Amino acid sequence: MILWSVLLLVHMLFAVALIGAITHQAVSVCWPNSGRSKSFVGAFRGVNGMTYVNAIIVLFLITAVLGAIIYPNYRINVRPVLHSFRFYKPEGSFEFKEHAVTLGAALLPAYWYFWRYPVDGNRGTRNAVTIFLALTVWWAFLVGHVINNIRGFGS
Amino acid sequence: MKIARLFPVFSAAFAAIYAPALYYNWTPFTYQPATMEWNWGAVTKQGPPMFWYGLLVTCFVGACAAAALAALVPERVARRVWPGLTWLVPVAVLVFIAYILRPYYTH
Repeated sequence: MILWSVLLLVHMLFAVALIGAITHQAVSVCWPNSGRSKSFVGAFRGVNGMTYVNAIIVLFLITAVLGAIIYPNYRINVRPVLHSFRFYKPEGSFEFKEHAVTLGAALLPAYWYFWRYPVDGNRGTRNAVTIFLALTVWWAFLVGHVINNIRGFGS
Repeated sequence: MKIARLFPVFSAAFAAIYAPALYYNWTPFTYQPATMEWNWGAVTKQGPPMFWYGLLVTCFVGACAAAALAALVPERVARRVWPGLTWLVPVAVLVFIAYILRPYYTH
Protein backbone atom coordinates (compact mmCIF):
# COMPACT_ATOMS: atom_id res chain seq x y z
CA MET A 1 0.00 0.00 0.00
CA ILE A 2 2.92 2.34 0.71
CA LEU A 3 4.20 1.86 -2.85
CA TRP A 4 0.83 2.94 -4.31
CA SER A 5 0.68 5.97 -2.03
CA VAL A 6 4.20 7.01 -3.03
CA LEU A 7 3.38 6.54 -6.72
CA LEU A 8 0.21 8.59 -6.28
CA LEU A 9 2.21 11.34 -4.61
CA VAL A 10 4.84 11.37 -7.38
CA HIS A 11 2.02 11.37 -9.97
CA MET A 12 0.55 14.42 -8.24
CA LEU A 13 3.90 16.24 -8.08
CA PHE A 14 4.44 15.80 -11.82
CA ALA A 15 0.85 16.95 -12.37
CA VAL A 16 1.56 20.13 -10.39
CA ALA A 17 4.61 20.88 -12.53
CA LEU A 18 2.61 20.13 -15.69
CA ILE A 19 -0.34 22.33 -14.72
CA GLY A 20 2.04 25.23 -14.04
CA ALA A 21 3.81 24.88 -17.38
CA ILE A 22 0.71 24.37 -19.53
CA THR A 23 -1.16 27.22 -17.81
CA HIS A 24 1.76 29.58 -18.49
CA GLN A 25 1.80 28.57 -22.14
CA ALA A 26 -1.99 28.67 -22.59
CA VAL A 27 -2.21 32.15 -21.06
CA SER A 28 0.66 33.34 -23.26
CA VAL A 29 -1.22 32.25 -26.41
CA CYS A 30 -4.65 33.50 -25.29
CA TRP A 31 -3.49 36.81 -23.90
CA PRO A 32 -0.02 37.50 -25.31
CA ASN A 33 2.22 40.19 -23.96
CA SER A 34 5.24 40.85 -26.15
CA GLY A 35 6.72 43.72 -24.16
CA ARG A 36 8.61 43.56 -20.88
CA SER A 37 6.30 43.98 -17.94
CA LYS A 38 6.99 44.77 -14.32
CA SER A 39 3.65 43.39 -13.16
CA PHE A 40 3.22 39.76 -12.11
CA VAL A 41 0.31 39.23 -14.52
CA GLY A 42 2.21 40.84 -17.40
CA ALA A 43 5.26 38.67 -16.75
CA PHE A 44 3.00 35.60 -16.48
CA ARG A 45 1.52 36.39 -19.91
CA GLY A 46 4.84 37.32 -21.47
CA VAL A 47 6.57 33.94 -21.48
CA ASN A 48 7.93 32.44 -24.68
CA GLY A 49 5.56 29.52 -25.29
CA MET A 50 8.06 27.68 -27.50
CA THR A 51 10.42 27.08 -24.58
CA TYR A 52 7.72 25.12 -22.74
CA VAL A 53 6.86 22.62 -25.48
CA ASN A 54 9.33 19.81 -24.78
CA ALA A 55 8.96 20.13 -21.01
CA ILE A 56 5.17 19.92 -21.31
CA ILE A 57 5.37 16.82 -23.53
CA VAL A 58 7.76 15.07 -21.12
CA LEU A 59 5.73 16.05 -18.04
CA PHE A 60 2.46 15.01 -19.70
CA LEU A 61 3.85 11.60 -20.67
CA ILE A 62 5.43 10.92 -17.26
CA THR A 63 2.23 11.96 -15.46
CA ALA A 64 0.05 9.87 -17.78
CA VAL A 65 2.28 6.79 -17.51
CA LEU A 66 2.30 7.05 -13.70
CA GLY A 67 -1.49 7.38 -13.81
CA ALA A 68 -1.73 4.29 -16.02
CA ILE A 69 0.41 2.34 -13.52
CA ILE A 70 -1.79 3.41 -10.59
CA TYR A 71 -5.02 2.87 -12.54
CA PRO A 72 -5.56 -0.87 -11.71
CA ASN A 73 -5.36 -0.01 -8.01
CA TYR A 74 -8.07 2.60 -8.54
CA ARG A 75 -10.26 0.03 -10.28
CA ILE A 76 -9.93 -2.47 -7.44
CA ASN A 77 -9.84 -0.29 -4.33
CA VAL A 78 -11.37 3.09 -5.13
CA ARG A 79 -14.02 2.71 -7.81
CA PRO A 80 -16.08 0.07 -5.93
CA VAL A 81 -16.11 2.39 -2.90
CA LEU A 82 -17.36 5.29 -5.02
CA HIS A 83 -20.02 2.99 -6.42
CA SER A 84 -21.15 1.63 -3.07
CA PHE A 85 -21.46 5.15 -1.63
CA ARG A 86 -23.32 6.23 -4.80
CA PHE A 87 -20.68 8.83 -5.64
CA TYR A 88 -21.68 8.63 -9.27
CA LYS A 89 -20.61 12.12 -10.29
CA PRO A 90 -16.99 11.75 -9.08
CA GLU A 91 -16.88 8.29 -10.65
CA GLY A 92 -18.18 9.60 -13.98
CA SER A 93 -15.83 12.55 -13.81
CA PHE A 94 -12.91 10.17 -13.37
CA GLU A 95 -14.09 8.12 -16.36
CA PHE A 96 -14.18 11.32 -18.39
CA LYS A 97 -10.72 12.25 -17.13
CA GLU A 98 -9.34 8.91 -18.31
CA HIS A 99 -10.63 9.51 -21.84
CA ALA A 100 -9.70 13.21 -21.94
CA VAL A 101 -6.11 12.45 -20.89
CA THR A 102 -5.90 9.69 -23.52
CA LEU A 103 -6.99 12.09 -26.24
CA GLY A 104 -4.63 14.73 -24.84
CA ALA A 105 -1.70 12.31 -24.97
CA ALA A 106 -2.61 11.40 -28.56
CA LEU A 107 -2.62 15.10 -29.40
CA LEU A 108 0.99 15.59 -28.26
CA PRO A 109 2.60 14.76 -31.65
CA ALA A 110 0.38 17.37 -33.35
CA TYR A 111 1.04 19.83 -30.52
CA TRP A 112 4.79 19.39 -31.03
CA TYR A 113 4.42 19.77 -34.81
CA PHE A 114 2.41 23.00 -34.67
CA TRP A 115 4.87 24.60 -32.22
CA ARG A 116 7.97 23.27 -34.03
CA TYR A 117 6.81 24.45 -37.47
CA PRO A 118 4.81 27.63 -36.82
CA VAL A 119 3.24 29.22 -39.89
CA ASP A 120 0.61 31.94 -39.98
CA GLY A 121 -2.07 29.59 -41.27
CA ASN A 122 -1.58 27.22 -38.35
CA ARG A 123 -1.46 29.74 -35.52
CA GLY A 124 -5.14 29.32 -34.63
CA THR A 125 -4.80 25.53 -34.63
CA ARG A 126 -1.67 25.71 -32.50
CA ASN A 127 -3.47 27.89 -29.96
CA ALA A 128 -6.57 25.66 -29.95
CA VAL A 129 -4.47 22.53 -29.42
CA THR A 130 -2.62 24.24 -26.56
CA ILE A 131 -5.89 25.34 -24.94
CA PHE A 132 -7.35 21.84 -25.37
CA LEU A 133 -4.33 20.36 -23.57
CA ALA A 134 -4.55 22.98 -20.82
CA LEU A 135 -8.24 22.28 -20.20
CA THR A 136 -7.55 18.54 -20.21
CA VAL A 137 -4.78 18.91 -17.64
CA TRP A 138 -6.91 21.17 -15.44
CA TRP A 139 -9.85 18.75 -15.56
CA ALA A 140 -7.60 15.78 -14.78
CA PHE A 141 -5.93 17.64 -11.93
CA LEU A 142 -9.15 18.76 -10.27
CA VAL A 143 -10.90 15.40 -10.63
CA GLY A 144 -7.81 13.59 -9.37
CA HIS A 145 -7.72 15.93 -6.39
CA VAL A 146 -11.39 15.27 -5.56
CA ILE A 147 -10.97 11.48 -5.89
CA ASN A 148 -7.87 11.67 -3.70
CA ASN A 149 -9.91 13.54 -1.09
CA ILE A 150 -12.61 10.86 -1.17
CA ARG A 151 -10.29 7.87 -1.02
CA GLY A 152 -6.69 8.52 -1.85
CA PHE A 153 -3.42 9.01 -0.05
CA GLY A 154 -3.22 7.01 3.18
CA SER A 155 -6.73 5.53 2.96
CA MET B 1 8.89 14.49 -47.15
CA LYS B 2 9.01 15.29 -43.46
CA ILE B 3 7.42 12.56 -41.37
CA ALA B 4 6.43 15.27 -38.87
CA ARG B 5 3.67 16.50 -41.22
CA LEU B 6 1.87 13.22 -40.48
CA PHE B 7 1.72 13.94 -36.74
CA PRO B 8 -1.55 15.94 -36.93
CA VAL B 9 -3.07 13.10 -38.98
CA PHE B 10 -2.02 10.61 -36.30
CA SER B 11 -3.59 12.73 -33.53
CA ALA B 12 -6.89 13.30 -35.34
CA ALA B 13 -7.11 9.65 -36.45
CA PHE B 14 -6.41 8.40 -32.92
CA ALA B 15 -9.32 10.48 -31.60
CA ALA B 16 -11.60 9.44 -34.48
CA ILE B 17 -10.91 5.75 -33.82
CA TYR B 18 -11.18 6.14 -30.04
CA ALA B 19 -14.92 6.90 -30.10
CA PRO B 20 -16.09 3.69 -31.86
CA ALA B 21 -13.36 1.63 -30.16
CA LEU B 22 -14.71 2.72 -26.78
CA TYR B 23 -18.36 2.35 -27.73
CA TYR B 24 -18.02 -1.10 -29.32
CA ASN B 25 -15.14 -2.19 -27.05
CA TRP B 26 -12.61 -3.01 -29.78
CA THR B 27 -9.97 -4.23 -27.38
CA PRO B 28 -7.45 -6.89 -28.42
CA PHE B 29 -6.82 -7.88 -24.80
CA THR B 30 -8.13 -7.40 -21.27
CA TYR B 31 -6.29 -6.89 -18.01
CA GLN B 32 -7.82 -8.41 -14.89
CA PRO B 33 -6.42 -6.28 -12.04
CA ALA B 34 -7.86 -8.50 -9.29
CA THR B 35 -5.92 -11.55 -10.49
CA MET B 36 -3.22 -9.67 -12.47
CA GLU B 37 -4.03 -11.72 -15.58
CA TRP B 38 -3.97 -10.71 -19.24
CA ASN B 39 -6.49 -12.29 -21.59
CA TRP B 40 -6.94 -12.07 -25.34
CA GLY B 41 -10.13 -10.28 -26.41
CA ALA B 42 -12.77 -8.66 -24.23
CA VAL B 43 -13.03 -10.99 -21.24
CA THR B 44 -14.87 -10.43 -17.96
CA LYS B 45 -13.73 -12.65 -15.11
CA GLN B 46 -13.54 -12.19 -11.37
CA GLY B 47 -13.37 -8.53 -10.43
CA PRO B 48 -13.54 -5.51 -12.72
CA PRO B 49 -11.96 -6.03 -16.16
CA MET B 50 -9.81 -3.28 -17.71
CA PHE B 51 -10.21 -2.80 -21.43
CA TRP B 52 -8.52 0.60 -21.56
CA TYR B 53 -4.96 -0.65 -22.19
CA GLY B 54 -6.22 -2.70 -25.13
CA LEU B 55 -8.16 0.27 -26.50
CA LEU B 56 -4.95 2.32 -26.48
CA VAL B 57 -3.24 -0.33 -28.61
CA THR B 58 -6.17 -0.50 -31.04
CA CYS B 59 -6.20 3.26 -31.49
CA PHE B 60 -2.41 3.53 -31.73
CA VAL B 61 -2.22 0.90 -34.46
CA GLY B 62 -5.20 2.42 -36.29
CA ALA B 63 -3.75 5.93 -36.08
CA CYS B 64 -0.37 4.70 -37.36
CA ALA B 65 -2.14 3.03 -40.31
CA ALA B 66 -4.07 6.23 -41.05
CA ALA B 67 -0.86 8.27 -40.92
CA ALA B 68 0.83 5.78 -43.27
CA LEU B 69 -2.06 6.14 -45.72
CA ALA B 70 -1.87 9.93 -45.42
CA ALA B 71 1.80 9.72 -46.42
CA LEU B 72 0.62 8.56 -49.85
CA VAL B 73 -1.40 11.74 -50.34
CA PRO B 74 0.50 14.41 -52.34
CA GLU B 75 1.55 17.37 -50.22
CA ARG B 76 -0.35 19.92 -52.36
CA VAL B 77 -3.57 17.98 -51.72
CA ALA B 78 -2.80 17.53 -48.02
CA ARG B 79 -2.37 21.30 -47.65
CA ARG B 80 -6.01 21.81 -48.59
CA VAL B 81 -7.18 19.89 -45.53
CA TRP B 82 -8.15 22.22 -42.71
CA PRO B 83 -5.58 21.80 -39.87
CA GLY B 84 -8.27 22.67 -37.32
CA LEU B 85 -9.53 19.08 -37.60
CA THR B 86 -6.63 18.23 -35.30
CA TRP B 87 -8.42 19.81 -32.33
CA LEU B 88 -12.00 19.66 -33.60
CA VAL B 89 -12.06 15.83 -33.82
CA PRO B 90 -10.90 15.30 -30.19
CA VAL B 91 -13.40 17.94 -29.00
CA ALA B 92 -16.22 16.17 -30.88
CA VAL B 93 -15.12 12.83 -29.44
CA LEU B 94 -15.13 14.28 -25.92
CA VAL B 95 -18.68 15.55 -26.46
CA PHE B 96 -19.67 12.05 -27.58
CA ILE B 97 -17.96 10.50 -24.52
CA ALA B 98 -19.73 12.98 -22.23
CA TYR B 99 -22.98 11.87 -23.86
CA ILE B 100 -22.35 8.16 -23.24
CA LEU B 101 -21.25 8.91 -19.66
CA ARG B 102 -24.39 10.92 -18.90
CA PRO B 103 -25.95 8.20 -16.67
CA TYR B 104 -23.31 9.06 -14.07
CA TYR B 105 -24.74 12.56 -13.86
CA THR B 106 -28.43 11.72 -14.18
CA HIS B 107 -28.48 9.02 -11.51
